[in-house]
Amino acid sequence: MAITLLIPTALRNFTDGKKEVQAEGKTVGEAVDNFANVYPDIKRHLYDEKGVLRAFINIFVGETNIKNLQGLDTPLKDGDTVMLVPAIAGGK
Amino acid sequence: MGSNCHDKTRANDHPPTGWRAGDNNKNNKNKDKGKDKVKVGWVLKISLETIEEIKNEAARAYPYECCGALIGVLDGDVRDVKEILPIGNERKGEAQRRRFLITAEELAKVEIKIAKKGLDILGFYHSHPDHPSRPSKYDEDFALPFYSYAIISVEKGKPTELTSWVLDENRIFISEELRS
Repeated sequence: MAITLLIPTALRNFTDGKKEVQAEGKTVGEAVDNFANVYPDIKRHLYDEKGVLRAFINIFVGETNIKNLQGLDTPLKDGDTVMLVPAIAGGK
Repeated sequence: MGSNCHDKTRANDHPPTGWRAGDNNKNNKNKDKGKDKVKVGWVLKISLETIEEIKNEAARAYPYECCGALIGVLDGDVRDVKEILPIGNERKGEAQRRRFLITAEELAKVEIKIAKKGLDILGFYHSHPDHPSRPSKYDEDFALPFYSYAIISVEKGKPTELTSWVLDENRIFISEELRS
């Protein structure tokens, strides 16, 4: 399945400045893995040393967080838009 | 905007934790210890009117922390803020006095909304009620690379200084120049 992956500004350093890239995959996990293989420097920002997706990285298919779908096993169809979105926190 | 410009100095000096933007330079960090760090070329272009909007948000939220996104375009090394987008602080109750949280769900809505306008998220702002406008260790631990983190101090309900910070390659906050 060919999908479009939208990249947050914080991670565009690792995608040659591209806002969106095309990726292939039957599931979200597969598409993100394929994307990370093309841009290997981004891997350590997406996955921890055990290969688990970092907690503050969220992935949306359309407007729905994959946490509310089937996680990385969420199936994709041609033309889906997948978005990487961080959560933002701080304080005094 | 002379009063908002300041020296580019290190916010603090402690081991980085969490998401590391470039932890292959730890030795450089030790070598630089004790020195002021200067980064040339990081500029946050933001109008006085927009700063006023942030101050108003901060005053309204006091004694709690406000937060929102800095929206605009990236022009070389200059982040040109076109507008701000206030976002509800998702911390609960009294925790809002010293913490803010923008959930991925809220940020996803912002990304979708601004993409249609050809704009990007350049960073975020938040307030420090009765606390200086310098990033805390908590701010630094949870910061992401690239983004500008603008902080407005609010003293007894009155907004004072706005500063802005960017993580360097060792995950240390460096202040960036504000330009109107």
